[in-house]
Amino acid sequence: MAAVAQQPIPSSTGSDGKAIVAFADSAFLPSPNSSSNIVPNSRAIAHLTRDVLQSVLILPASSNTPASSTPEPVANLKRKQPSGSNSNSLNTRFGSFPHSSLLIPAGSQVRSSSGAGFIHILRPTPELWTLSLPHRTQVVYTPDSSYILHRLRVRPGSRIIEAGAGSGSFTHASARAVYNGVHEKLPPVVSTGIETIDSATGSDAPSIETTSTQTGSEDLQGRVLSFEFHADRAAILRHELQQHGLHSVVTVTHRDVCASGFSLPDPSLNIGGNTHATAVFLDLPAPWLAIPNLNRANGSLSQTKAARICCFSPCLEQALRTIAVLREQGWVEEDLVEVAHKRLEVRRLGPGGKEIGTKSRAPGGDDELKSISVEDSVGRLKRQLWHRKAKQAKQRELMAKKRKLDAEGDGNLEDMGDDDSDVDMDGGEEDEAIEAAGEENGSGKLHLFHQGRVVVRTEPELKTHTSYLVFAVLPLPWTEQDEAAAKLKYPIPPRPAPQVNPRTGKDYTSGSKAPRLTADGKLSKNQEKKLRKAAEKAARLAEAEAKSSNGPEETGADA
Amino acid sequence: MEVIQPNDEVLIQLPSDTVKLVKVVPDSIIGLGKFGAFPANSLIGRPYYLTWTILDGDGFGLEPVSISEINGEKLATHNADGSAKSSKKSQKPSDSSTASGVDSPGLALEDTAIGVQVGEDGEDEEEDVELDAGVLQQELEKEQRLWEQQMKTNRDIRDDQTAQTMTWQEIEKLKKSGGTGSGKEIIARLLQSHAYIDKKTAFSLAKYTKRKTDKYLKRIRVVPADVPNFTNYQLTQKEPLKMLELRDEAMGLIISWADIRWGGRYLVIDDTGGLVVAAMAERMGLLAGEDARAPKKVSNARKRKREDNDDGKEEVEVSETGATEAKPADPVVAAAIQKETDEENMWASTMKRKSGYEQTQVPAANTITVLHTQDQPNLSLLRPFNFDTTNIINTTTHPLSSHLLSLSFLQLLSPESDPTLERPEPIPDAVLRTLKSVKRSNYHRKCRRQERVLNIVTSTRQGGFDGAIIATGMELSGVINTVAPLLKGSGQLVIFSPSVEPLSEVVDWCSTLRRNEYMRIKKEANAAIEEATNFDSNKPQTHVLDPDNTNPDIDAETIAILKELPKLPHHTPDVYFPIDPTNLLAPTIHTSRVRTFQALPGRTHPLMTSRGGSEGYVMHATKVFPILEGKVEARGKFGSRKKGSSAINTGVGKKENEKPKEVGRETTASVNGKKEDEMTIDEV
Repeated sequence: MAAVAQQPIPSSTGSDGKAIVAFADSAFLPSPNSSSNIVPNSRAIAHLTRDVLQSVLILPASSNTPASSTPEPVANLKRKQPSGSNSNSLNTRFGSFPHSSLLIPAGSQVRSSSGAGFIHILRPTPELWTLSLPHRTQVVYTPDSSYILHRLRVRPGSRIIEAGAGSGSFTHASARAVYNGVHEKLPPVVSTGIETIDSATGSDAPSIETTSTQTGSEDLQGRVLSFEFHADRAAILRHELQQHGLHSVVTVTHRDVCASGFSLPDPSLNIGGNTHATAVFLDLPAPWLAIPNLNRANGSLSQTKAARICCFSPCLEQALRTIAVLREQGWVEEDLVEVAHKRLEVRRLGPGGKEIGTKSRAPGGDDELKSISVEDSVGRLKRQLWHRKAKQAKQRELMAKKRKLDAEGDGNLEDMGDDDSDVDMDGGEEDEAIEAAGEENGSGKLHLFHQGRVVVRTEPELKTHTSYLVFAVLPLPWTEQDEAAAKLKYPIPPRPAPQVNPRTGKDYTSGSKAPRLTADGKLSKNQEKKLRKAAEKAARLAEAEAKSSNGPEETGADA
Repeated sequence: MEVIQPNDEVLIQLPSDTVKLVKVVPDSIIGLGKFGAFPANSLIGRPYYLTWTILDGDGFGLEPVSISEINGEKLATHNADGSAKSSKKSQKPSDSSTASGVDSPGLALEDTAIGVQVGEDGEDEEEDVELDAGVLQQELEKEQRLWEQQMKTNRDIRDDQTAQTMTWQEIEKLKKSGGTGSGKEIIARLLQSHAYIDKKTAFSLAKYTKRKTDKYLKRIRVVPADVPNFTNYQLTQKEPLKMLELRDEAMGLIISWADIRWGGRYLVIDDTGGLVVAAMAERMGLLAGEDARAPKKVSNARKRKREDNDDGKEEVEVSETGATEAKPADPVVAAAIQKETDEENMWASTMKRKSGYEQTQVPAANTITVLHTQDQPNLSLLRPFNFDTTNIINTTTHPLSSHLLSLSFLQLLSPESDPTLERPEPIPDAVLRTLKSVKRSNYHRKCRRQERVLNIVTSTRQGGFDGAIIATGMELSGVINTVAPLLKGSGQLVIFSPSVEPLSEVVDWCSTLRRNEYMRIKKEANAAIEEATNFDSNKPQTHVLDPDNTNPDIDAETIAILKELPKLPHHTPDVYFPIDPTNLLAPTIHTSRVRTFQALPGRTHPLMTSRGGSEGYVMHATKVFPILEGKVEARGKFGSRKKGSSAINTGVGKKENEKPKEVGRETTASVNGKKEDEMTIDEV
């Protein structure tokens, strides 16, 4: 449904006009009309191997001096120059790829200019970007960020505060999560690329928009309000987001939130006066200093919704201190957790415990034959013994012959040597033949990839600890006046008389089986019938008992 | 204000650490078993996440508990030791470290752990820094000594019935007296009359107090039934097997790796009863908002629209909306219509309107397409999100009812076999007008359904999905063969499985050795075909009708449409190649587990027990297009395994020199190149 539909806030835009929503022009975000091709001036990810991903900013074929149009804000900050930013081709270990050869449907395999190697060119996602981005600080990886965004209930249209933007990994993930179309006029984007179809619709949509969203407080657009206290990192992140077309969703502010708080990220930004966030992510060394700055009174948190927070700290002491402050500041549902994530490797384990398709099969490697089973081992040892015995017998025979020859005089020593080697060779060849027969299947064809069995193990390098996550919720304030007003609006009925089953004596006033009143205060027909019947039955019982004996009256009393 | 609305489904956290799903029907009574009952009206209009005390005795309803009281209890748990009644806040932060250490050794451990300067500004930190190492060491030792001296143990505590001198009759009497005070009084009396109370350690006392608080104070907290909360409820209280034991962390991974965003088109096979669909919908903005709150019949909206159009054809539907329907309630519906029209303008739908029926079009973006094995999808867990799946085809204004598209495997793969795709016998307008209203509306409903399903089938077969999520116990090869061709290039395929074996199989089906062999066979086969028949692979292929059609007398018009459908790429699975291994790039299995900690000062540790069962595994892979012409080999320069940083950015010329040395050491791909010669071809 339209972006408007996601906002529970009753908005004035619904009545007075249309809220125009346009798709952002970003490779990270969807645009239904654009082609699935990689387009110039967008980010793409070159997939080299599972672990080696290289990001590349595709440059338009026409411009030969691309770097001059959008200069890097800071020349070099402990950062690898993204490959290809200085030339019109992407250089990888698999060869060189001119950018013009990458303007193809995303997901295609591309051969290098020399034809020797290949890569896959992919559309960027926050996950792929996390794996390929230039590290400036410790990165929040996908297992953590996905869980955090899920727990913080970040949805299209949400506003999330992120403090300690760092390398921008979490920024990209949360930008995708809050994105619900672009609602307002944006500063013009530096674009030298080919005009796409939706850039035309995008250009006229915001012009109408500016008149309709002047009301200010009704900003419906999902936003990431990102704070970073390191000036250069903030500048680089801003630049990156501009390149990725996410600048309309993310606002990067250079500020120390511990000292200056979270309100008013950018006076020029028309987002209704203040941050009013519903979700907060703090990746700071001392989050407890920043938390007191988060409250409804100063406008940093949403006035109409519960606010959620996640603090990301590597040390337990930090986490505990954070929790103590959160409790003091009135946050509830505090939860301290740790995400343990593993990536699994799948291999095929061949007979003899060797992995198939790995370097153990490389020539000159460990080629010693191993036994496949107990029977095999016994058989092999038996054969070896047999050969040895045969050899010894033969040698004895030869020695005997030799002695005889010696005794006779002239002898042929070379022949004897040849015989010796023949025996050895025979044994070896037989073993290999058996081995080969074992690997061959019924039709006599060899499919290495289908041999052995599939095994799963944890990847060799394991991240055993990333950080402790502290979650908490700040409920909306609820005063006694509010409670009184709510009581007036939704009057509380008096406690109903206990409904006791006349036969069993069981009180089901609050039980699930108790007859429930419908909305208009009446019992349903079935329930009425049941009650009537029960009452009649009880009455009859009571009568009968009263008649038969004037004994115990417990059963009748309740009826 | 985000408050509890009438008829919302909410989760109530009970003192027993269990959760109950409750629908807040106005003027009804919510019963919580032994914890008592309260009127639903005392929840409506209140915000979530507040804590309430259920009133006993004369009072009826809920009384809010202030947050400072709840958190105060937690912050002061370590203070429960009788000697240290003074609260932390009352002490001066600067001298608190030593002062509290002397006053109450119980506090000492806590102080070193988290620091008493909680909530204060940076001053104290500076002081901490100023302390030199020697002083710090002394302080620590002093505290340690005090701690050891006065450390209480349970050696003198005898575990018997006589420890608590308060009788249950007394407790009952206090309970009867009613009011919120009674609970607190009981706890106070219990603590007083416990024989060993002053022998208990601070921690044990805190635990005891908490246990009694839970029992006698009857506090509840109301939380919204959103996807994470509902997942936890389902996982711990209901039938986890029904939802494949899908935990939050796995759900997070799925939603992230599948690249679920507002505006995307996604395909899903969901055996979790709709939980995955719910999580996707939440991330696509389809579960929030006024429309998603209470189900409203769309016929109201239609009626409203008709008033504008005054279209003759629509008139017949008056009967369908029926007299039973309440008057179009108000501006909300009107707003919904407004939104809908806006949206139609915005995303100029790719589907053509075939006749005058509304609500049969398929949105071009922000859709979830559910593929299911039965006639109807099992999405019963969408109920708490106010979406009734029994009427999945556009019956309410709920955003999902237009953006959730469902079709069965039969409808996708052999549409001509499905009777719902058969157009009902056309009835001329003149005849239609004479029919009874029930028959008339039935006819229109059938027509509308046929159109809708046909549109769904058409749009699905055109493919181009941004991602697909598979969470099923079905045999995966068939599912992947169906789903993978429908993905966009670079689209993500994510599979969830409660156990790792099915996923490891899939990864093995895409192993490098297998892929190379498959490519070789395919190339040879293609060359043979091209030589023989001059085959043009560029010509778009259309759907070939199912010879096994169970619905032979389907009308010609539908057949004509179906014949125009694009042909789905087909892979014939065999024992060696169950799926096309060239379609998927770098399938990777993840598993993630969250460990929860008890976070109390001085008593922090991971929880002693947590839910076992399935770990939950998530596999993701990227849809790619392979190069089919010529030989492609992964040849290159391979440096050390550490990050490969040195290897990147080297020039081509340099690479050529080093190639012979490096090839074959690290890449399995080039190893295979050599290996290929030894392998004979398997006829596919």
